[in-house]
Amino acid sequence: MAGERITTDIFETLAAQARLLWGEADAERQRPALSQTAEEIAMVARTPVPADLEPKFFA
Amino acid sequence: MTTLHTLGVAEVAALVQRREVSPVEVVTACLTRLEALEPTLQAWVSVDRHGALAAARRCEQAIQQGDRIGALTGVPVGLKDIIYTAGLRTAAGSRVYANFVPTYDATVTVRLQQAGAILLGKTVTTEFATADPSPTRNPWNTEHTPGGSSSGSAAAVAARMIPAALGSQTGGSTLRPASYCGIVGLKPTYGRISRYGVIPVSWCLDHVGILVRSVQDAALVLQAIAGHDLHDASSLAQPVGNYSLAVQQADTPPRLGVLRDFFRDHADTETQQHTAATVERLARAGARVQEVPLPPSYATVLAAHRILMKVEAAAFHADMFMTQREQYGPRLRETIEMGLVIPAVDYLRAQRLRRLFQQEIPQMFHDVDILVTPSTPTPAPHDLGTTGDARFQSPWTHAGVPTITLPTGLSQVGMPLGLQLIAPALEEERLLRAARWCEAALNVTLAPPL
Repeated sequence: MAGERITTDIFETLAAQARLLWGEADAERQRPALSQTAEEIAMVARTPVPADLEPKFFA
Repeated sequence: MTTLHTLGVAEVAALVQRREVSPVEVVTACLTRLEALEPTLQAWVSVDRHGALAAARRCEQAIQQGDRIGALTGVPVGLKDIIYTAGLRTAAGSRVYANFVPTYDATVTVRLQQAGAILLGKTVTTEFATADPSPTRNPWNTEHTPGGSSSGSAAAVAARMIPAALGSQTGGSTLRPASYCGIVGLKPTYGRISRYGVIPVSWCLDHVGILVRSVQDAALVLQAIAGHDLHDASSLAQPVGNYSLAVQQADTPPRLGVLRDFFRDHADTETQQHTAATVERLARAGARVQEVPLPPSYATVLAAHRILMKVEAAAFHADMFMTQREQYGPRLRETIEMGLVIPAVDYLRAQRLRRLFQQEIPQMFHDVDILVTPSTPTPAPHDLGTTGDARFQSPWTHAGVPTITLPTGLSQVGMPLGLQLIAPALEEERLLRAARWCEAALNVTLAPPL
């Protein structure tokens, strides 16, 4: 990916989405789960994938 | 006749076929056992006593008439309550589906019945086959979790209420409860068993699983329900193997590849030592054992798996969730909430990484037939607020390759431990052959003190 995305940036993006969907208080409740999800996304995002590798939904 | 409920699938089928036992007697024995233990174990959502006895009488009549009968004739089974049964409530452990009655049978329901199996009822699932614990208790110790999400199926088979049940696995939902309850759990290759009529968690990860008490029984049930299904887009067209024959050809010791690294680091000391001792016993019995390293793509497997599961669960539930959010349990609610905000590009990257892992798996089998790990990091936790840890099963569910767990002994506090065997995609015959060899070499059958 161009420019490595860091976990805190990903978290802020997810949290903003959660606030839009559910409001401030609910998004705050979701904070630990959002943080964990941001870490998972960061891990996936920083792992190189061959350019010609297409997704296959049904293995 | 008082011990009919303890018979396995192969034993019941053989005795019924030879007219030495009546299907009505078998069903009655299982119902009696079930009704005696159900208040303690809470493994069933619904028991169709009338329907099961009527089906048993039809079986009996067919046998008396000399009709051609199926391989599972007279075998009582339970179905996890996410599997459609026409006219029989399928609530998926959920308040949202509390009154849902399917109008058609799942393909696995049809195939079991075509093989002559008798449906005793629906077994308890965690809510929509995810992580909020169910009320089911572990037959070995009711203060320990039975695991999940196929909690009722595992507890019912372990407690000798039924010889076989179906479950499902999106992370570790068949092998984990099977291991925690001391029985055999089989998850075949993705697409080998139809998912049509099974309420999904995640379309690309969901598998139907088999819970029984022996490898031979796993082979018999798989034989009856495996195969292509036009109703399921993910169903495999490749021919079904001869699984029943495979378990009869288990004379050659397998070459076992032991996975350490992640699986040693995350197992507790007792599980590590028990697994090492189990592998040592297999080596002494003739298995060739060597260590196999994990491929580079393994590093992202769990993260990618969670992303896929969250997004696809959110996609399935989105409409219901927006109007009935309060009806969902806290863990599933959190899963859906996270899935709703994960960007599509990250979901697709996780799918691409999954494919990378799938492409790297064959090299792990270069010098070995089967991979082995502990089935779970610990025995069933002394905690009814969890269904346990799926980390040892999820990678193989993610890849869609076949796996089986065998009971291997008891922990110091008397809870079952298991060994997980893993084969390449579509190598169910190899997996079952190796599992049968290991089962014979270890000679461990566990029965809870009920």
